[in-house]
Amino acid sequence: MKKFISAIIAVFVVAFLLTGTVFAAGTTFAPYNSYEYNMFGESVVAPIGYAISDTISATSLGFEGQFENPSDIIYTEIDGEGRIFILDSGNSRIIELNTDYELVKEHRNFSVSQEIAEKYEVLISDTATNSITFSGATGLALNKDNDFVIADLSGNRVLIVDRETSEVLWTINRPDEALNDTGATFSPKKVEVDDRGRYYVTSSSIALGVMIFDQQGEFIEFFGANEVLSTTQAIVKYIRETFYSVTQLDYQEQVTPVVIKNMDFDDKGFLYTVSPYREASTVAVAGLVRKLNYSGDDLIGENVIFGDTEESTTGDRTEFCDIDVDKDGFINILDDKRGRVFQYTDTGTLVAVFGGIGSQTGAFTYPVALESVGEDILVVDQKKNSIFIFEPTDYANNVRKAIMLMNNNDFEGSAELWNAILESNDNSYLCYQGLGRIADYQGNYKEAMKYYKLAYDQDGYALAYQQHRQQLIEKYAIVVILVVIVAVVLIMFGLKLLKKLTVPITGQAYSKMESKYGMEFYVLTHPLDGFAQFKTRKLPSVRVSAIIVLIWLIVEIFDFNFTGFAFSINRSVDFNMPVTLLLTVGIYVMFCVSNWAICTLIEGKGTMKDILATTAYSLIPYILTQAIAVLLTNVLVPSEGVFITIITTIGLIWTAGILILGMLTIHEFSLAKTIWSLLLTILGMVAMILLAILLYSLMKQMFGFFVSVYKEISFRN
Amino acid sequence: MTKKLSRVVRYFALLLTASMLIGVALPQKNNVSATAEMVAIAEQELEAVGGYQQLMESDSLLFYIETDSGKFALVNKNTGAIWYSNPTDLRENTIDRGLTKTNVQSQLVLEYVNVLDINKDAYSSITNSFAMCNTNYGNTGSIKVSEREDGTVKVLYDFGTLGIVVPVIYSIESDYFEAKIDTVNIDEGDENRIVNLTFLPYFGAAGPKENGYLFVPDGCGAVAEFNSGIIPYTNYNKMIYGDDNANLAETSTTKEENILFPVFGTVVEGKGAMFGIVTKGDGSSKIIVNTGSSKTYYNSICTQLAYRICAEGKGLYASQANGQKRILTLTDAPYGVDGYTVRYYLLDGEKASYSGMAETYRNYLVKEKGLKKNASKPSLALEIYGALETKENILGVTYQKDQKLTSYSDVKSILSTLKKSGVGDIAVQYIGWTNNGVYNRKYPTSASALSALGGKSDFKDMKSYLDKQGIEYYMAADFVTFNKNSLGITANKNSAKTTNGDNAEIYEYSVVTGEQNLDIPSWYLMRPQDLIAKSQKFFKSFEKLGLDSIGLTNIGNTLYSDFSNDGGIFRSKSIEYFEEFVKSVDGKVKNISVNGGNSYVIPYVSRVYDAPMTSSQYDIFTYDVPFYQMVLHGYVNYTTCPVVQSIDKQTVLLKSIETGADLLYTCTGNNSYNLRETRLSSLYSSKFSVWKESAIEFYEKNNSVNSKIWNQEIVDHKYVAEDCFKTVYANGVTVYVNYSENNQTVDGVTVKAENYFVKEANA
Repeated sequence: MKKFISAIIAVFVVAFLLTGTVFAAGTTFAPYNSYEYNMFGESVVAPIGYAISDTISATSLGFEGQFENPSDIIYTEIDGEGRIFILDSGNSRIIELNTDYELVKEHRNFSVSQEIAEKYEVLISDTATNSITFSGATGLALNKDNDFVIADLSGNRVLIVDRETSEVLWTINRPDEALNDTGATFSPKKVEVDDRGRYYVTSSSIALGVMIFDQQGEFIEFFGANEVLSTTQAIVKYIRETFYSVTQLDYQEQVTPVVIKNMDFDDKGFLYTVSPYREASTVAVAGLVRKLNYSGDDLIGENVIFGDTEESTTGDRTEFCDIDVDKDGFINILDDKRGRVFQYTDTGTLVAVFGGIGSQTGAFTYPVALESVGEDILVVDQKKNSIFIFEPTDYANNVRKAIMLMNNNDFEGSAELWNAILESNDNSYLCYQGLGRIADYQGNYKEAMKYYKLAYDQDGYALAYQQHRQQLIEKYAIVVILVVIVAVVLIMFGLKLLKKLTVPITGQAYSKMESKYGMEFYVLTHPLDGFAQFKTRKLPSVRVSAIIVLIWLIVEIFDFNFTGFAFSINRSVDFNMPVTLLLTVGIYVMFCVSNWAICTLIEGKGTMKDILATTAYSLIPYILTQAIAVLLTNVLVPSEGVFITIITTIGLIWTAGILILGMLTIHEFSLAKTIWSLLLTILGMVAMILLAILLYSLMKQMFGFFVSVYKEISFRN
Repeated sequence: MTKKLSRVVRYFALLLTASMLIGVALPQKNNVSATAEMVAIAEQELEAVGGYQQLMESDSLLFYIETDSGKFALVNKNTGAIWYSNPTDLRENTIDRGLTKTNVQSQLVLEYVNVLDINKDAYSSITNSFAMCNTNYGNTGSIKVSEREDGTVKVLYDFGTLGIVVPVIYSIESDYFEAKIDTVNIDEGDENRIVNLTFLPYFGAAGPKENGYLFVPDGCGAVAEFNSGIIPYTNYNKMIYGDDNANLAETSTTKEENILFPVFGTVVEGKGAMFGIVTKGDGSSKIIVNTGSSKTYYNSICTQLAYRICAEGKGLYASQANGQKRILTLTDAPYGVDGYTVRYYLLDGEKASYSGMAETYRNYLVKEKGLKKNASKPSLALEIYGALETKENILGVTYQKDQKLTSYSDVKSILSTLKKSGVGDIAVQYIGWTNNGVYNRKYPTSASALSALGGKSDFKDMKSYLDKQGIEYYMAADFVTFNKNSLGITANKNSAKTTNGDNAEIYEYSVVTGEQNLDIPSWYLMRPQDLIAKSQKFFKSFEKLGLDSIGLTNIGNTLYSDFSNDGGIFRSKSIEYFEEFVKSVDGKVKNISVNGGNSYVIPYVSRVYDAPMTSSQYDIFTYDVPFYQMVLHGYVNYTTCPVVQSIDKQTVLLKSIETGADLLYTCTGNNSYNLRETRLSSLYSSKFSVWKESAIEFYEKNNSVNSKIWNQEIVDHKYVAEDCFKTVYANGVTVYVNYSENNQTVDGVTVKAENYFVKEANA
């Protein structure tokens, strides 16, 4: 009876032993969230791009026991057949799979003949069988003859082994001539072979770049160590080189090496290198991923950042350890600190991000390598001793296709895809950018502008706007001309009127403008005369000054919120009133107080009222030109920005001039003393700011202290 | 010739009939003496293994115990299967060492702290009943087994030098066995305090030679087959009903599903199944799972009682640097409920599977928790979002604005569009329809229409439409969280406190760094003790609006303690307040819906929104099973996860068919504000016009299957082929769902790739 029952139960359970894998076809769960970055470096939720579809473990392939410290994986085509090779270092073997992830061959029992062993000083681990092991190997590649190239880190050698006979053909050992003065060990970590058959080796103990060996294993050169410097960095470097002594320069070189952790060739022969991190940086920065041409120049540049740019308070950050360029030119990068795979276009647009650290399916414990095989991405997890296969979801497939079509200028084809993508994810900045490009191409400039705005793409917006403006001008040519004529006439008339006001009224000594409430305009064109009248006729008006400063505040608010999109992408929610207040009213008040204090000390004759009025009145040109600039940014594009710069510069110079002349007059200084007093005033302002900061942080500390005492007391009760 | 032939035929027929009769009679004969025979075999084995004495007996169970070690054995009278509290094959166990080796022989594993010496570097220490109490091994403790008057068995564990004494009581009923830690009578002495108690860690454990699986109630449920060989990064040790929200970690790592039912089980091939329910103290309980590997010999699943919380306290001199002394804070109010009880059922035959466990748990809920059969016809479920408070800025002045996402008239037009397109039944949960909208709310004290959404008149209009059309709808109000203080309800007076005495605050976590996002206003948690009192006011205006169904949202998935210095309570006690609250609401309204759906609210709700579709898919799990849905089907309605925002929409449709769930769509009106840079950015593509067409299509498919079985219990569920499942309903209808990319043939039926097949009853 018992056996009968057990038979029934057996049917339930025995048939489908899956040895620890979870069915993942058609999944609705991934142990991670996906996101996209916007122009502000903020993350926004996005649909999952890649989900796990299967797991390869040694047992799933039919072996006894597990992989041991698998450390690398490569995909290549041999005789037209796709082949995947997994470096199972701990077991000193290489597993060969086909593109259906089925076992093709287990390459083990690598051996070496006596003469080769002697010639290349190969360490034999078992003299009876002449076999070698490479349990500390960390890198694998195939050379032009489709032989295995194994970077054996702990064995301090690169082995070239015949793929069919598993016999060592030759090795690359430490290039003594090149490394002699550094005293470094060879420690080859990763290896690649270029399309000419040369060997590229990265080392964990050398920071001089990638080592290139020729087809016979002779050392050629170091490659790719120099970073591309920005202009300022280049200037600093030039200055350093001119003035520093040789030893100081050497020290500089040693302190900032570029550590290349891994590399990959794309099908055009460019070498992509990846570095784990920049010292002292808590977020990913530019330069971690580089695309090098034959001369070692980085084609990606310093404006593109790969990795997480959101700052973490625990010091956790993106640390890249592997890179792979897939067949469509997308860059996949593996971050082993956070266990994430990022997929980017080569212009730095994030297509998908997936993965995490944990004990769940789809999360890693210690990911060490990745490789793309067709549409899938394979990740090797050294601690879980498995290789995980990730498949793109419909969403990621659509995004990739749309991007590729667009890169080939197939706009109609990608239009449909972008709309489908928008339907799946109306958060996507990338999608709006795509739609903008399409609208642009189709000539719907207004729509293009709308999309570019949603995508925060200023360059696209500017170009579309230019076209749109052109259309508007052509359409309303007559109206535009009329408006321009009217404007010119009005301005001329206005100027004439103003001029009249400065003419002394018949029968009186002063013109209409030279009154208490008109003085602020008079001083703009007749500063010395105007400011002198301050003293004689008691004209400075605090009321007017206040109004001017208020107008300044309003113009700054306008500047933040209403500057044309092509020039600045300020979002109104980011507007910070306290800061703006501080930068306008605050600076004004601080300047006046500081100036008054300083000038009292150096015996200036100006009163507080004088100073307040002088400062405020001289700000008028600046405020005026700022307002005009804001208006202009809504009509012009950045390439025409020089026009705006001219206007604001005039305003600035005018203001500075009035201010100096004003100070000179009211304090009765010489020109030199005026400049000197202004410098001292600025110093005074700096001192005030420092004091304020000190006071603030002191108060904060005290407050914090009292709070924690209170808590402690209430806690112990 | 014919004579000989006929004789042969006659003899043959006689032989045939005789053998048939014998064949029919024999099994019956076996049945009559089966029990006795089984028991006899079992007794022989028990004698061979150790000094077990029988102390209790019921209709289907026998209880034996070894009086000097506390080890017991439970025998299933029907099959003779013996379930040991501790494995008997210790000699073959060459893998477990050190503490684990003694854990294997214990019934209690004790984690404790020394309170007298707070400068001790070690955070807490772990020991077990074998190491400390087993007098045969020369330690100072003892194990005393005694029979009580009412027939139950008491085992007193004295941990000797630790000064801790824990009484455990075993009792037996006709179809189950109960093990109880008598927490009221625990004596802790002066020096040490109990932090965690793992109870019967190896009860029913199976070794590497056995086949079978562990049933883990993670998310919807999962099967972890024995001896997976996987060594997990961290062992599975999860709190039932999710982490304590008043004591949350500062970073969140990967995404996970919570445990919603306090159950667990083991199925051993050839033996049967053991199914456990934590009937008392489930609020402070954890589930611990281990599968066999090169580091772990046994496959086991058990519960752990979190008796106290031991947390880092803040002090004047506290510092986070390594090497500094930390001040430990123990909440003094331990546990809070008298008696931690786990009930074990032994299942055999067809019932020895997770399907049998689902049925057992459902019967338990019906009999002892008042679960009623109340499912309604398959519907299209919608979660509509009303208003969202956003920060707006005009000319430098920032102000809060109630952005309209879906107005009352929008709701009406959306529902009428769906109805006209043939969607017969709709279940709507309307979130953010009152107060301040979805976020940044004060505690709900009055139900009133928002002017941003159309005001009172539009609301009345919408309501009369809903009533006339007979649409199932729930107006949502969250009584668990609030952001702002209001009159009479403030964070300082009414919110739950953390172990530091601060107000417990729930933050959103950054998707990128996993850290708390301190820029977004956090939520406070209402003290469970104040739930009923503070919610009274709301219901007055709620009824005045003529509403009779309420969506309680977070009450179903949030459980926390209140660590206040005076009047604080532990989660295990909070459960009672939550249950009382939902019960009182049930008395006031007709229908209640919740999100998530922990076991203690289930008997009172009519619909669970966003029920878990999967487990957290840990590496040790083999595949997911819809245990949650199997328990509830026919009794309580439940929905899938939101379809539009899921990884693969077709998969969600298939899941809804496999589990008899209603499809869920998050919904906002057509002219809604772009949610991208708001807190609701996860609701991408929720505009009605975007998903309308595909929703109607999916609803039709879902309805074509679920309308046949909506009021039926699920009697069986099996994994039948690769990525292929079958669900059997009480009326005989069988639904096959195939998730793989190839057609599969099962039970003579071909199920197409990524598709389903319905086999009628008696087909």
